[in-house]
Amino acid sequence: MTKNVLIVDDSATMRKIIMRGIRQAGIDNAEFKEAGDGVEGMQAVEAGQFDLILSDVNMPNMNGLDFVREVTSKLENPPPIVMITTEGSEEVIGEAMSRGANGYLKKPFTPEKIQEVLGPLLQ
Amino acid sequence: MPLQSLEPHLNETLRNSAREILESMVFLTPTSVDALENGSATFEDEVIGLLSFTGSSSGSFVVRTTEALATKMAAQMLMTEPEELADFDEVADAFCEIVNMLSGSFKNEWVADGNQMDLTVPHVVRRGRVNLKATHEGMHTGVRVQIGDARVDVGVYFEA
Repeated sequence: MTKNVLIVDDSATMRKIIMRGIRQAGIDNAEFKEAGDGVEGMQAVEAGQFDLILSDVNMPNMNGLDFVREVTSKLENPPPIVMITTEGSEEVIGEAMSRGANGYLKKPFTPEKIQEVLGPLLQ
Repeated sequence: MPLQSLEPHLNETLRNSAREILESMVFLTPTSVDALENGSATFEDEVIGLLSFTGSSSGSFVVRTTEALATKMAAQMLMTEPEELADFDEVADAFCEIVNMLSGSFKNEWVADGNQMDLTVPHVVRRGRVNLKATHEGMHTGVRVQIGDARVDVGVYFEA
């Protein structure tokens, strides 16, 4: 069954790397929608339905933490949100979790790590 | 004025993260990754990636290399050939992501030491000259990554 995945990251390169990493992890049922920041991410969330949202933290216009808060406050049943970040500090991760994120994937990542974190959410 | 180094473990973090990021995200194996002891606060290079930080201390994170290597790195990240990249924006975007990952790894170690650090979004200067303002004489750490005949220099500079 196809899973709709929204990737919110200001880097087009990183969005491509994430999509490739998910495929390399053996997850082949995902269809992707891309957004360049939290504002675009919210527009996508309001226009469509997603099974999983992957979001960067450090982005212009609306950062990942504010995006998570927007999604969880506006959607009655928000999909799982996984933060993809270079910042593995407890402070940032804790803040993301307190705003409604369900997990995080730390960059740099391997296909094995992607499978471990995202595999259960995309079954 | 030559700048000195910070705590040795911060340089080790920079060396380890440079190697890990290049191998796992850029798919390039460095020939060597060494500490760069003396860092000038003025740079002139083909591609310079920069971001600023504030917190317990303020300063800049600088990654610089040749355009040929930056293009090769972008192509590797995107799994394409260098000549297939449409324009420099794609190279800059990929290079910014490398700056992002390197600075994030450094931040994690810096914060683990009990400090605060907030990072700006990175940007790239192409064929330019950068002069960092008022760098602290004793607060610099850097590494040089050698990839074949080319190199990538990574430096963290704290303001006075």
